[in-house]
Amino acid sequence: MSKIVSQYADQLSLIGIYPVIALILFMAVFAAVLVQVSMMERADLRELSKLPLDMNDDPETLNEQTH
Amino acid sequence: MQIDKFSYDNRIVRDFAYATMIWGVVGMLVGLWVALLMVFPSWNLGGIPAGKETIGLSFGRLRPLHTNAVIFAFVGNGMFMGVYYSLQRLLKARMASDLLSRIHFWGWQLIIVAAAVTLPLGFTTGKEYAELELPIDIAITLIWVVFGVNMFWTILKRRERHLYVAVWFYIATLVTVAVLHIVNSFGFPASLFKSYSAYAGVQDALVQWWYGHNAVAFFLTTPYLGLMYYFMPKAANRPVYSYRLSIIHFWALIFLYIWAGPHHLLYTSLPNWAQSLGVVFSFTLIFPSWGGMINGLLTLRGAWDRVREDVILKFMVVAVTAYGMATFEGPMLSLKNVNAISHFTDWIIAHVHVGGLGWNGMLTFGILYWLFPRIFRTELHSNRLANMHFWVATLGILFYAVPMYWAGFKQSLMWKEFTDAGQLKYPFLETVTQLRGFYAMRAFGGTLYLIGSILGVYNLFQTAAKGSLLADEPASAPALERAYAAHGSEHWHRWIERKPVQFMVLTLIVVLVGGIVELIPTFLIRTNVPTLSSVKPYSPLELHGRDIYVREGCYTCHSQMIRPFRSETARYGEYSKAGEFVYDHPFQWGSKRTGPDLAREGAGNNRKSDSWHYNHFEDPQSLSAGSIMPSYAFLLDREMDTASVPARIRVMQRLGVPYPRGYDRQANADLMHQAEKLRASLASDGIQTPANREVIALIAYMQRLGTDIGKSTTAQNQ
Repeated sequence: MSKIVSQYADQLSLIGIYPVIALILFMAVFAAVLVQVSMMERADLRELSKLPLDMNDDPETLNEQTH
Repeated sequence: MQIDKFSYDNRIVRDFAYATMIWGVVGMLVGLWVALLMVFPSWNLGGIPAGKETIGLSFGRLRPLHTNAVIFAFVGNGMFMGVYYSLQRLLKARMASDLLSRIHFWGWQLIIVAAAVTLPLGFTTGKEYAELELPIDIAITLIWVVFGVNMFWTILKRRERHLYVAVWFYIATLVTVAVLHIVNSFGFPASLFKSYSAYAGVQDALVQWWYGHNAVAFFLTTPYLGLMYYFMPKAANRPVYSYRLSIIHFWALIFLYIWAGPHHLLYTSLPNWAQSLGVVFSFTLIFPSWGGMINGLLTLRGAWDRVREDVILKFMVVAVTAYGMATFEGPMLSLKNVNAISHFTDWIIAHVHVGGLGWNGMLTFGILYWLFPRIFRTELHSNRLANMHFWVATLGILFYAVPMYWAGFKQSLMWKEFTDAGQLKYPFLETVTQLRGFYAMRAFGGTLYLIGSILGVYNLFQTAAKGSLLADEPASAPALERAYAAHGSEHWHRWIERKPVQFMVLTLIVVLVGGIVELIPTFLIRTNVPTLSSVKPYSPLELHGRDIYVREGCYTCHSQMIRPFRSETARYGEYSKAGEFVYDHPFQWGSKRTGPDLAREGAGNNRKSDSWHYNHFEDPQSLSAGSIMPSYAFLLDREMDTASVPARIRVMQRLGVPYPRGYDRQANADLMHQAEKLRASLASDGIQTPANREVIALIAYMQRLGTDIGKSTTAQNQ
């Protein structure tokens, strides 16, 4: 199997174009994420960003809970 | 609605926190010691016999101990501490299995102890940041799987439907580190603690730096970004500045990082297309990295007044600023014209320490100061001490980095300077002796940082002693309903945020794309590594010498890669060709030139006599006044391990090195024959030594280096 792939891959003469293809690939993914993110609802975002704050773990409060 | 009552496991958080602090101090202490060895080379303790082995206390053996300790022990434990604390709370669930948590903790500590024992004993693969030998690599894989199972099991039994951005970074870390570790560690054992990389030369270099750079990316960066996204909002008591930006930050970062490895190999024998790929993606990395930094800093909007008073925020602000500095500098260093100056110099040491001390160190301590009062239900022992820690550590970073930047520039310019007559202006040794003042200042900066850390550890242990651990922190949350009612037109990201398995698969695909595109052509396209008919396998004695070279960590100070610059070809000889390294398992190109390049040490005008090498290994300063190379006098007494030679030859054959069939049975006879010739050569210079000493093998390897491509093209100038 690897021999077959190797034979075909060995004929890739335009390997120098790889960085350009890779960059285009990235820009496409990046643009897609950007578009999707810009369409998100503000209320959803606000709710999600507050997830870590959705609890009270102050030392004093914890003391009250456990005593 | 059903409300579940449960508890968070703080004991595992405490254990990892203690381990972070203890290993942090140990790792920094080793770092300080090796920094001092460069200022006071006479402090080198050489080798201490330990049965069949020798405990090496020279820079070459201790530097990997330092890097492994600070990366995998200090930052690794710090990462696990933060992950175990934040994951439980973000998912509103206790870790799925306390047993797996404990296995993870003790397994990881045992791995660290194994590293601390084996690295000074010289058991190393010779690949930077992946030096640990095969049995320890397997243990790492198993413990990582334990961590992964526990983490994913917890995610699956969570009470919070949506996975917060921090958890995405943890998932990316989990899958990518696993891929990197397994691919890079692939090797064949010749004995329990001696294995050879499955890859050779250029291919090994590409895999290693694909791993090496992404160890920075996915061990030192992505998990810490996850911690930043959790602990900064907690410390500032305000939500992350932009959740939109965090989504872009995450996907762009993990997509880009995986391609960036080749920037460690610019101007080397790596194919040009791969170098270009590394440059393009490394430069582009600045955008998501700065997106993350800005998101972190702007989380403090409206709370900047608190930074003056709150020591935790101070630590975090410096950490995120250092992240910004390091991730601006990284892309710049990846530009070929900048890299031509910076590579192999102390500039890189400054760069990594801004990241390590600033980003990882300061964020770790910021989190520790935030955590301890909470899990020990008390106030911090001393705010004054914490402030003192902050200022001493910040000054320490400056005193460390500034001299190293200066040294890097100076070193590089001295290497490249020619006289009007067209001769290299400075012999290599002078570029070393002129740097010792900078090395002394660096050691001072490191001392400050270490003092700060010791103050911090004392303060935190006092805090722990004052309070009592809230081992099982009570919590309650509504049970997660099975059915989910999507509201309105739900976008795809919101969908995937509540689908952990799909999220993991997508993450894996994203990181694999870069790896596959980069690695597969290099392995499959023959023109990437043109073969040279004159390049032959190492003789058994040279191979043994090479193994000693790897064991002693010579690659930590010497490169074996001559770049195609006039200043390098004039100093070292013909620039290195990919085909010269086809039998090098592992490659030994190095990443730093504290000593000169050795790629053509045995060729042309670089070649020295056998007796010169013998005397130089015994006492470098006797031949090179001002050299900071440690003495390797113990190699003059240690006998070669000829018993393992047949096994080593067999592994080489298995890896494709064309030794004749059955050569393993003849190898030792050839080895002794060549050693005897070397012994006679030394005897003719008045040096009496048995032929079976390790120094003989190492000299044979030195004399072989660079001789394959013909003497006519080698060094013109010393």
